[in-house]
Amino acid sequence: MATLRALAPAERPDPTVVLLTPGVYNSAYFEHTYLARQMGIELVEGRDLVTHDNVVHMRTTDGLKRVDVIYRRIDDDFIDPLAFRPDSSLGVPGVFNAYRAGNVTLCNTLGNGIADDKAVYAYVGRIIKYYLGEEPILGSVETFLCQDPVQRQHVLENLDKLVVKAVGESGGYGMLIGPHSTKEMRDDFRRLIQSDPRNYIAQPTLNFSRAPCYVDGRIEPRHIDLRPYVLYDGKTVTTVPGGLTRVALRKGSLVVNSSQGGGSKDTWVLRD
Amino acid sequence: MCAGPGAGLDVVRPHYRALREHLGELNLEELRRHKLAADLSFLHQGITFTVYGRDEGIEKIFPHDLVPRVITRKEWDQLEKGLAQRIVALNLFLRDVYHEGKIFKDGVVPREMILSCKHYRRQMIGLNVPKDVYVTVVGTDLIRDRDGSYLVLEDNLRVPSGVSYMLASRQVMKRIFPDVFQTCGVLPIE
Repeated sequence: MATLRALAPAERPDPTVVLLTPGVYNSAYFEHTYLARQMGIELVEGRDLVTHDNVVHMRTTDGLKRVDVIYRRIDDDFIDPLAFRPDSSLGVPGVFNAYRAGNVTLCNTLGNGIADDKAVYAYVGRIIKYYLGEEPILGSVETFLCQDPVQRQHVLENLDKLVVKAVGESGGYGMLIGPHSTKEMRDDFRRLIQSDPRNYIAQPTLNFSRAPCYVDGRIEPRHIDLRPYVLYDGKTVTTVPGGLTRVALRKGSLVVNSSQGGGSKDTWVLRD
Repeated sequence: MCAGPGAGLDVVRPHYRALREHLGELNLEELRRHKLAADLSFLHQGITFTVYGRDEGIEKIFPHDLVPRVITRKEWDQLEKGLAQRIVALNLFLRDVYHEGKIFKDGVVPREMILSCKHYRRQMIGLNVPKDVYVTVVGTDLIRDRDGSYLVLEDNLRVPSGVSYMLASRQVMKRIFPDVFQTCGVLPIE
């Protein structure tokens, strides 16, 4: 919350922060209501905000109130029909111009998705060295770019061993897990890769760690990953000790996404 | 067969010891009751998510596991440094891409690769964002490899989700195992 307040326009000493949600039909709507309540800020939908002269206001029972920081949980494409997708009814017309004018802050900003692109991921080690002159502390997973003819050949010859991912997708969608796939699925992906190589990367199937879980009345090992949350205000990086541990609750499964049979567990960092 | 439900924890790494001692004292019936209490608590708080890709949105209770994952301070310190390094470098990268593009001119990342990204937004070119902060919050996905080192899977710099599940899970666990947090010395997440 302090991080969000710190990013308010400079001349606004007591900034108003809101959380902008796409609404009740969004899969994470519960999260939006929960976070707004925890942070003590208003939860708003696009229709609750209006822009006048490049300033954003929220409709309240006492009339309009100026908004300084928008923690937005709407995707880039839908946030402002005037600047991005014109068919979006979820966004706030004019909010992007208000942002350009420096009258409101959007968190996170727009266009960050380039660094989430799974092909760009292969370059992050080099990006760290380039800007910071340091070796990366955390490792990355070996990644084959299908755009490159040599790497593509390798991928096509080893589809049964690799995990293939569409570069712009997330949440476990658009993925082929080679060792768990059928010949039909592999043939589909072969066609997809050949018709649009830029859109696909492949990685080795990872043998990632398991942790004890209480399943069906017993304690059994299941595969897990970890999603720590990290905040940045331009000066200081703040991490929350632990984060969300996601569990592939189906026996033997490697997919931890909640949309595909995953669950979660509490994560304890010990003081020792 | 006299082993309690904690027997499944026998093969875990040593820092699970305190937790194992506690869970080992509980019998299956008690664990089952705890699990029920946790699930009810999630249900009453309305902690749900929607599964897409079916005919209609299906609202489900978020599946939660009772056994916490334990990370040592040493492991965490290393993770924290690595995560900080990554967010700072990626923030500089985003600023550069939408301004001077030095990284392209120096031949480190091909320009076409960035311009062809599905999530590249030309509207951001030249825009000065407050305090040059592109990434306010990230939720980096990591796994622990066979040799015990952490690897980044995805950075998630757009609108990372799940933080409410982390907070809610901690609330519920504190209610069910109030004394264990103290005895194990768990760092708070506030």
